[in-house]
Parts: sequence; structure tokens; C-alpha cells
Amino acid sequence: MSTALSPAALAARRFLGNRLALAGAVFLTAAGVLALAAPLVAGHDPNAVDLAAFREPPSAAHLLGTDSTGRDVFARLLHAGRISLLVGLLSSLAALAVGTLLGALAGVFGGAVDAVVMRAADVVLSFPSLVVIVVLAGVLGPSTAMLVLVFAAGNWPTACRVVRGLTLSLREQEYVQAARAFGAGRAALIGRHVLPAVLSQVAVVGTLLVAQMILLEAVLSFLGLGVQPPRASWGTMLTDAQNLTLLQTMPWLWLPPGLAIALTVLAVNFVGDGLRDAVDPKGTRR
Amino acid sequence: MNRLSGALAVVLLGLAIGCSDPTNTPARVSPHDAINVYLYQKPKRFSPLDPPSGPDQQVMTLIFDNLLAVDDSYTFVPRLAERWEVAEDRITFHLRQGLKWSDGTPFTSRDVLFTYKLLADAESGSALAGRLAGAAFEAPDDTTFVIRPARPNVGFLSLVARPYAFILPEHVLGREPVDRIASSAFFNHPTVGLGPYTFVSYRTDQYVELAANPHYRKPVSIARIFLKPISSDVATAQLGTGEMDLAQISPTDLRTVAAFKGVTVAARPSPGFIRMAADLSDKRFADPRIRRAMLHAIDRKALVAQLLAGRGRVQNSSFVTPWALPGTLEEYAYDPARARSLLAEAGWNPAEKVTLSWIPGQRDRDAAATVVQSALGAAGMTVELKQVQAAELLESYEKRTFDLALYGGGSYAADPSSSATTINCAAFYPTGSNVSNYCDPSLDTLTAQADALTDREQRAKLYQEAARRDNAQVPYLWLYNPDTLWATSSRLRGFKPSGDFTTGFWNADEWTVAG
Amino acid sequence: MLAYLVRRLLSNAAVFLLISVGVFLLVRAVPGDPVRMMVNPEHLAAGGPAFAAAKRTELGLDQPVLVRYGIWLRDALGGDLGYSFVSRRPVAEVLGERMGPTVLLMSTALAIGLTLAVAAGTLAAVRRNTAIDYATTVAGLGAISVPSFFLGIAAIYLFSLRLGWVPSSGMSTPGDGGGADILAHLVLPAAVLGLSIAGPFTRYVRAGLLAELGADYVRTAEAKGAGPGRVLIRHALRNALIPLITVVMIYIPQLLAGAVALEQVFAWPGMGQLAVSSIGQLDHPVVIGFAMFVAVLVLVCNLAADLLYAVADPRIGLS
Repeated sequence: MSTALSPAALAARRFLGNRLALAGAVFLTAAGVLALAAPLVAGHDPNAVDLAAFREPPSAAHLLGTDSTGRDVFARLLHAGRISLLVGLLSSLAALAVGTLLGALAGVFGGAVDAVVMRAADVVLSFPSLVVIVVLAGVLGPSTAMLVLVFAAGNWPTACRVVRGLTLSLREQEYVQAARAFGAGRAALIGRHVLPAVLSQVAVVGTLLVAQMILLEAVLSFLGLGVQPPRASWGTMLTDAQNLTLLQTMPWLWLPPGLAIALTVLAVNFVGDGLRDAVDPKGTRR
Repeated sequence: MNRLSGALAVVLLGLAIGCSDPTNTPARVSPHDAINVYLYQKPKRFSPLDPPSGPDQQVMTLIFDNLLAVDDSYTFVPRLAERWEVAEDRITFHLRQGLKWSDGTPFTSRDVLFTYKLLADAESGSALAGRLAGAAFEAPDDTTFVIRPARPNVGFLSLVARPYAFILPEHVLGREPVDRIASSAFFNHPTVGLGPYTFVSYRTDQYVELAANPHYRKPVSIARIFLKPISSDVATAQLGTGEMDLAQISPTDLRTVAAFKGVTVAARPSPGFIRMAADLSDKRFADPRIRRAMLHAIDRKALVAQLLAGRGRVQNSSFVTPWALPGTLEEYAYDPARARSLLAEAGWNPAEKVTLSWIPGQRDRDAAATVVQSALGAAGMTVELKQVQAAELLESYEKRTFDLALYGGGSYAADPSSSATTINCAAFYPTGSNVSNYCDPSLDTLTAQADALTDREQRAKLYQEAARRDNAQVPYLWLYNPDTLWATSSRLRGFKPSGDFTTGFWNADEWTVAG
Repeated sequence: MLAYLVRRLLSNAAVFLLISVGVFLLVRAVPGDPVRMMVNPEHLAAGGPAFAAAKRTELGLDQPVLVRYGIWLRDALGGDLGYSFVSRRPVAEVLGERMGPTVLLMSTALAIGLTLAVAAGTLAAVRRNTAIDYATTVAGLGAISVPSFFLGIAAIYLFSLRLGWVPSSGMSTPGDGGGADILAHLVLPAAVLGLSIAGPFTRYVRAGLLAELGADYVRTAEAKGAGPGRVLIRHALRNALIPLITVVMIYIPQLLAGAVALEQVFAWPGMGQLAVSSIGQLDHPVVIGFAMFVAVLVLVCNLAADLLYAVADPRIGLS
């Protein structure tokens, strides 16, 4: 191994050497592009109701057939992907931002700040997320923004704990103590030393969080607490699988969203796994 | 191995807790003598004092009895009362002789008197108190019971027939203080009744168990009935696996279920209909042309043909009782161009946004909401969909904060007076079930005149006049009257399907089970 | 040790109080009036406003929220969680009834999941970087990538409707309810839930085992002539499983949340179903009781995780 390579370049090389992670990244890119370009690719308005085309099987006109109000399943799948991916990404980013900041603060300041932040993390973790979501859905009105907000509010402690742990160990290291000795402020300490050092680990946590959030959205929408009609997410589309007749005779209604969720989450997990190995090749972190 | 065995102990402890579950006491019954019946929702309690709730009433139909019931053709049939006479100022019931409660105690008119006094007493927390207010009750002898309504009202029978006013045992409840009787534990565990079956247990989220009542007035041939509150989708699957003997099914599943071996399907017109209520106290909907336009905008025939697989009819009236309907009514056929021009004529502002609220969860109804949104949008009315919980919807009725509400149900087939409470000026929600806050005094006059008469012909004439006004004014945006679809396994014999699922078990004492 | 325990308990009590206030306020914030919920407009609403007002007083809904919280807290500390608005039965009884089925489902699923995870994780670690290792990794990730409710639906369709091996849903055949009958109903939901547990835990087992296999004592034991199988089981696996205990304890509350959707799909009469239906019916006392139960479960599991870890591995101090 050449000593000339930086740690980042090494990590990148390790990541690219992981075939599963690479395949996952390629799939996610494709899914992302399809979702972004949905209006151009879909060929139909995802909300165009047509009772004359009621639960039709796939055809040239409707690539994946039509649903119970005659809407084009392919168009809905792509537009649903936008929502599912958006909720997954945004809520994870928000959770990471809050968690990283609070974790770093707790680690750097210690003492009372640490105690308050970690107690808050305990409280959030013990709050039954389902109750919170139903209540907020009622108060704020169920919406995509509400989902992002609630998911972020319920999941920042994961990143917070990781960052706090890393910060604590970082605080003991020579270069950080040297910086403090030279009078570096705490904010500067967080910005200049802590954040760069924890970034890679946070990325790993974040990736795995995205997978969890996509699944959580699917479950909530399945229970009827998520995305509101006429919009669809993959989870709401999957509710059709509950019905025996639709399950047995109309696979075009539930197989595409089912596959979409499974493959996307799998791809995200592959990428997260690859990132973890790339950042931490010895596998010291559990 | 200490540490590992510690971990194992934790897991095993969990298992042990699980296995010593006290609710698992086995009560083995030969499956040959038992049938499984579907309940569309979880029952709460079994009390005629509580506000009516479908699944509670379905169970009470089996364990309690009434003076009279409604059969599968929506006519009144005798139950505890052998016969009755309706006069202008009184209804006289002649009770069957020699009946016994399921614990062997003789039944008399005193039980009936006790029940009706309780039901009419607001102190008891009875939800029926308002309806029975002012009525007087008498039991001149052991087998006669007389009701004197506050005002002449021929429709009174439909207020007390099944599934309301189930008769309660005085010898069990008579000593409970009236103001606390509604919370009595008896209504969680009503083991004494007059119905063909007696209550055994209610395992929440699992099943209600009933057993044949040995003291019923004739032999009951099914030893056990299990009523299972599960989702329609699960019930349909269980019809296929033989775990279910009687269930309502959705139109989507009609062909699947009909293809199951030994399962038969029957369709009957329901006594209610799916509709949208517009809040008519909101000036935007005050002009009847707006409501007519909305009906013209929606292809209701296609809704019935596709969503209901043809099992239903387009509804064009708030009345359902056949003899109350005139021969012809305006059909408000699908005509988007006419809808647009009517909206323009009435000065509808296309920038105006309207919210359509409904309780989600029923596939056909959810689809109908989407179709309505799209159809009204095409006619120039911007509609936003809003899924709500039941409590939120009811509160919005009372506070008049809804624009459009999509809901179904109602039991209007036996007598047209039941429809009148949905359009009467004095019956605004929550006093009555006039959700749309529609008010037309001349219509009220017609229905009040009709209910003061005993002659069917004369009543019909007045009600048909009322129905014509109702049809022209469009107090509700009627969508369709769906068929009630029943599926029965080959084991269950003697089930007579009724369109009203709340009284669907009306002849349960005649059911038998095949080998 | 004792001081540590007391400190943890005190801080847990503080967290618990915070949560209880939060839950109380949140539940009250749900739009809709529980009394409206009990009056059905379809049939009768003849009771009118007076009826509604009487009901409100009866349920104590007319008192200020702080007073109601105080009453609830006082009663709750005495073991009385109030009465369900809907069934009018004691909340503790309603919750207790559902605890059995949920514990049964969760513990069986845990047993299945952990057994699978230990077997697959060990195999993957021993055959590191072989096809078997990759296959278990992919399978593990696959298991957590498919929504479990979807897996449940598929399992019901295949094993119950098509093959007819097991009943489709519920916890027992009405009228039977014997051990074998419950077991037949339990297999499918427990296996599906177990699979979703096996996914992540396989990774923990594999990682833990790999770390142990690289440790000095294993090399020493091997040098002394102990066979690979022996070393693996006697030493490495044992030590690798210690951290797993902690993870399992922390995972239990998450499992309860995960069981909610599955209880719906399988019509399993557990706490998840109770929670969902109580929220829909605005049955505040039951929702609050359920939320507090979950909070206590989380706190107890966290505490247990710490203690177990400390007891199992004396090298870790409790300060």
C-alpha cells in the first residue's frame, strides 16, 4: 500500500473495491435520477383518475397497469419514490445535524451540558414513537413535512451518542489538548477538530438511518398514518397487498412498490456497510 | 458458562411469562357444533343504554331480545311481543307467555317496564333518553305493555325495534342505583338474557364466545358461536381456509370468495347509502344549483359499476323506504358540461378551495373520495382530501368546521320517519343526525303531518311529496346505495341474508350447522 | 455498586416524570372530543348536549389538565391507572390482558432470531471472506430490508392460504386454545419477527467473534493444542456473546414498536393492536397507560443492560 495516499483516498479505494457497496450506490443513483425525472419519464399524471381504466393489467399504454381508480401505477411508483426517498434523506439529515451538534456540545463541554443532553436523549428514546406520530399527525395535520419532523425528532439520539463518545476520546488526544492549551475557544474546537474527525462515522450512522427511515415511512403509511392521498408513497401503495383478491390476481398493484422498498433499503444498507468498512477497516466499531 | 447462562435465563424467563399467560385457559369445544362469525369492528360493551354501535348491537341481537324486530324484507316481526296494536295515542304490546331468562327466572312485563323506564331516564345516562322523552309506560298485567308517545308518532315502532331497546333483566339490574347503572359490570359480562344464545366471554381483539341458551323458547341447534372482530381482508382469507362461516365481504372480493369451495354469496340492498354532506350553513353551498352541479359532475354510475362491481344503485334521495319514493325522480346524470355551467350560473368562485374529510380504511370508500376529488376538480371545484379520525370528524360536524364530509350507513328502509331526522330543521347535529344543517320548514311540515297519520296510503302520499322536494333541493350529495354482501360456508344452514348488517342475525334462532 | 444503582434509579425517576408530563400533554392535544366519539350520528344523537356534558363530567374531562395530571400521577403511583373511556374497565387490567400475548410473541421471536443469528454469525466468522460469509451478510441485510409487514402478508398467503399448514391469523382457534393450537398460530408471526431480529444480530455475533478469535487467549489455547471447535465454543463464542446481552436489552423496546404492524397483519391480540385502536378511539387513559408502560420498559431495559454488562464482565467498573 502506498504511503502517499491520504486516509480519505484510502477509504474511497476500499469503498470502490466493495462490489456490493458499489452496486448499491449505482442502484441508488439510478433510483434517485428516476425519481427526480419522474414527470419526464412517467408519461402519465400520477393523479389522473380514469374509471374507464379500472385495475387494468400492464399494457403498452400503462407499463405497470392501473390502480383502483384507474391511475397509472408506473407514474405513481416514480412519484411515490420521490416522497419515500425525500422523507428518508431529509429526516436523516435533520436527525444527523441535531444529533451531531448536541453530541459534540455534550462531549466538549461535559458536566451539566452533558447530563442534560444525555437525559434528553434517554427521554426521546423512551418516548413511544407511534404515539408521538399519531398525535402530531392530528395536531399538525398529517403531511410529508410532519413525517420528516417527527422522524428527525425521534432519531437524533443515535448520532448524538456516537459523536459524544468520539468527542470524549478525542478530548484526551494530544493535538486537541495542545489546541486548548493555546487558547482555542470551544466553538472553534468543535468546528476545527471535532466535526472533521467524526464526519466519517456520522456518515455511516446517517446512511443506516436513511434505510431505517424509509422502512419507518412505509410502516406508517401502511397503517394509514403517513403520506396523505391522493399522493402516494411506496408504503401506501403496499396496502393493496392486504386484500386477498388483489394479492392473488393483481400483482402489478403491490409487487412494484414492494420491490422498490426492498431494493432501495438493501442498496442503502450495502452502501452503509461499504462506508463502514471503508472508514473503519479493522471493524473495531460494532 | 455463568454469563451465557445468565443471558439464556433472561430469554427463558420471557418465555415462561409468555407461556403462563392466564388468558390461555383452554375451553375445548368440538368444532362441529361451533360456528365462526365475522364482526366488522371491535365491540365495546353490550348495553342498550350506550350510544348505538354496530358490533355491540350485532352481539346483543344474539344474547338479548326485543319486543319486535325487523326481518330481511324490512318489515316488523314479533319477538317478545306476539302482536301489537298501534293507535293514535298508544301502542299496546301483547307479550308471549311462559318465557324464561337464561338463568331460569320467569320473564314478565315488569322486565319490559323496568327497561323502558331506564332507557327513558336521562339520569341513567341512556342515549335513548331524548327519543323516549315524554313517553309514558304501563304494564297493566303480566303479559301486556303499553307505550303512550309524547306526540302522535306512527314511526315510533322503528325507535324501539331491534337493534334498539333490548330488554334487560330486572332481577339482575333492579337493585343498581340508576345514576351508576350505565357503568355496571353486567354490561361487560351480560350472562343473563332472553336471546337464543348466552354470553360466555369476550376476549378483547380475539372473539366473543356465546353458547346456546337452554331456556330459550325453542331448541337452539348451534352449541357455540364465536364472533371474531377482524379486518375484512383477513375475514375473506379465513372464508377460504374454513376458519370463518359467516362474513360480510367487499365487492372487490366477490369473485374470489364465490370461487371458494362450499362458500355461497348473497347480495341484498342496504337500508342506507354513501353520501357527502356539505355544510349548508356555509354560504358557499347555500345555492341548490351548486349541489346539483356537484351531482352532475360525478359519474356515479361508473362508481357503482367499477368500485362496487355493479353491486349497488345510484342514490337520488334522502329516503330509502320504497313506498315513500315517487315513481320518478331527477337522476342528475353524469354531465360535466352541465356541472360547469350550473357552477358558473350560481357564481361559484373557481379559486375557492373545499376540503373533503372522511374516515379512511375502507378500500371502496377511499377510492370514491379520490374519484370525487378528481371529478369535482374537472368541473371547476378545487377539492383537497383530508383523512380524519372518527372523533375529529364528529367534532367538525358539531362545530361546523367541515366543508364536505363523506360517510355512509343509516337504516332508513323500515320507515321513512328515520330519514326525516337527517333533514329536519330541529335535528341539527348533535341533537339529531342532520349533519348538513339543511333546513326547509315546509318539508318538516309534510313529514310531521305524515307521522301523525296511521293510514299507510295517506302517509305515502305526503312522504312522496316530501321526497320530491328533497330530490330537487339536494340536501345531501347522494352517491350510491351499496349492496350488503354476505358469504356463508356450507356448514351454516338457515341464514337469511338481510341488507341491514346490524340486524343481519335477525333469525339466528333458526340457524343450524351441518356435520 | 449500590451508590451507582441508587443514582441510576433516581435519574430514571426524573426521566420518567418528564415523559409522563410530555405524554399527558401530547395525548390531550389530539383533536376531537372523546365524548363525541361515543355518540354515533348515524343512529341516534337524541341525548343532546346535556348528555354530552354529563358524560364529560363523568369522565373527568371538565377539569383543568394539570389537576387531571396530578390525580393521574397520584393514582398511578398507587397502581391505579384509571378506567378506559371505551370499555370502562381498569386500564391496568386492559393492559395486563395484552401483555401475555405480546410477551409470548416477542420472546419467541427473540429466541428464534437469536438462535438464527448465533448460528449464522458463527458460521460467517469461522468461514470469514468465503462465499458463506458473503451469503450470510447479504441474507442478513435482505432480512432487514423487506418491511416485516410485507413479509408477514407474503407468509400468510403462502403458508396458510396456499399450503394450509398453519392458521392465518389470531392467537388461538376459538373454542380450542390448547398449547398446540397456540403454537400453530404463533409460528408464523414469531418467525417473521424473528427474521427481522436475526438480520442485525448476525452482524453483532460475527463482529464480536472475529474480535475474540484475534485475541491472545485464543491463540494461546490453540498453541496449547485445543482444537478449533473447542476454542470457539468454550472461549470465543462465550466472550463474544457478552456484549450481545446489552444490545438485546436495548433492542427490546424497539421490538415492541416493530411488533405493532405485525400484530395488525396477524390479528395478534397484543399491546400494539390495543395502542393503535385506543388512539383511534381517543381512549386517553389507555393511551397514556400504554405510553408509560413503554417508557418504563425502555428505562428498565437500559438499566438492566448496564447491570448485566457489569455483572457479566467484572473488568467494567460501575462508577
